[in-house]
Amino acid sequence: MRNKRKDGTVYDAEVHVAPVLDNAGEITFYVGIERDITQFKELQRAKTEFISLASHNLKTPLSSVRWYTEMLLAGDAGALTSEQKEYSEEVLKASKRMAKLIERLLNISRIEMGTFVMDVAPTNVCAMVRDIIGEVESRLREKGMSVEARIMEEPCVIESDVTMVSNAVSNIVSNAIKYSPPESTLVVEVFVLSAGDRYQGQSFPDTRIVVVVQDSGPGIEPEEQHLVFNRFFRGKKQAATNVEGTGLGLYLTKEIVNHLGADVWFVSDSTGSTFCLAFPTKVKSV
Amino acid sequence: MQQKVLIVEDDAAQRKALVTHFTKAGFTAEGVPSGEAGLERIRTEKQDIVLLDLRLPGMSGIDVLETLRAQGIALPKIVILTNDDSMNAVSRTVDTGITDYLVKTDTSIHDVVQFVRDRLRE
Repeated sequence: MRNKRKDGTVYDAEVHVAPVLDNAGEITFYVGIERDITQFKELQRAKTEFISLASHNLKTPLSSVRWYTEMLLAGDAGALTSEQKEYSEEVLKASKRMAKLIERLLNISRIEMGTFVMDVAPTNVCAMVRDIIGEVESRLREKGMSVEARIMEEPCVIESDVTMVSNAVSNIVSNAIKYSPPESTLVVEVFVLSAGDRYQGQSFPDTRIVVVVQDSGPGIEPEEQHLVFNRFFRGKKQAATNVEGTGLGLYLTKEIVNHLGADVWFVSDSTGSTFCLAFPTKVKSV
Repeated sequence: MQQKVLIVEDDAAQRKALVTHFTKAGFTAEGVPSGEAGLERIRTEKQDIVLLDLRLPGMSGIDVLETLRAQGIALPKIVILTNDDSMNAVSRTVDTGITDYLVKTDTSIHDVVQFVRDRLRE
């Protein structure tokens, strides 16, 4: 909330209000604690700006690393031995990974700074999810995985930012593949959830297009579940695997859905995790 | 006859990579490090295609495009090759009438050459 100092200047405040009960359990009064978070918000803004600047500056040398490595691999500087080729391919892979990481940091800072301009247009979520499944086909093949797609036939069109919606869906699909065991099946569903209807513990006052991605990975420990959407969070089980992760994918997903007025939630146990995204039919930027 | 590619890129390493690769691919490639130098080369010599970075010291890529338009100089084929994929940069570029936009970190150097080949064939 915003508050005013005695001198009339306005400041941002964080307020916690809690009821105080008597012996009979009746509320007798409320206690409110207010904290001036002006400095905290300024620090956040400076940090976000720094990430944006640093990310842009990291992209320049990274393009050089990628292009020169591609030139080496193409034999522009002479034929490579198989060992040189193998090492160069590792450099190329690492540079692409880093580019993705930088892009994520940039997207996060754009959203946090409020400079991510939404481009709202009709978006067929069903077709988009089918495309995303097509894009990850080679990753699925590498792990011997298959997809059981339960996507409604008729178009499910929402008015939203296609890039952001696609990023959110890609993030949860990518995570599911990453942590699923080889030879397992990923279930991907898209359906309409009517106002008031309940799905996986959630219901909404308006109609939603829901995208569900269910994996059979190790699941998230109950005591860690409240941390899942935190920046840089990686579960104990996930960190113990050899799978590389930055802990930014789900944080970015959460930021995106907040921006679109959508919702993300999950259920998870030792048999796997189910992540759900519920998009309103018309974007409600918050 | 070899086709001429002008590369306007301030980063020396990237400029060198592009000039080298385009030359090997059979083009006549020239690299310049600033928007001002790019504008001068477009004014004085016919270019078949220009690869233009957006973030340049002094005159930006957008400034180059706007100056060319303001001075009534016929635009050669132009491909934006940048790492700035912000909505602001894309929309400002589209406003100048240029729609060929490649993001460096998303594009292999082979794809840059192929893209230019395809554009020159049109």
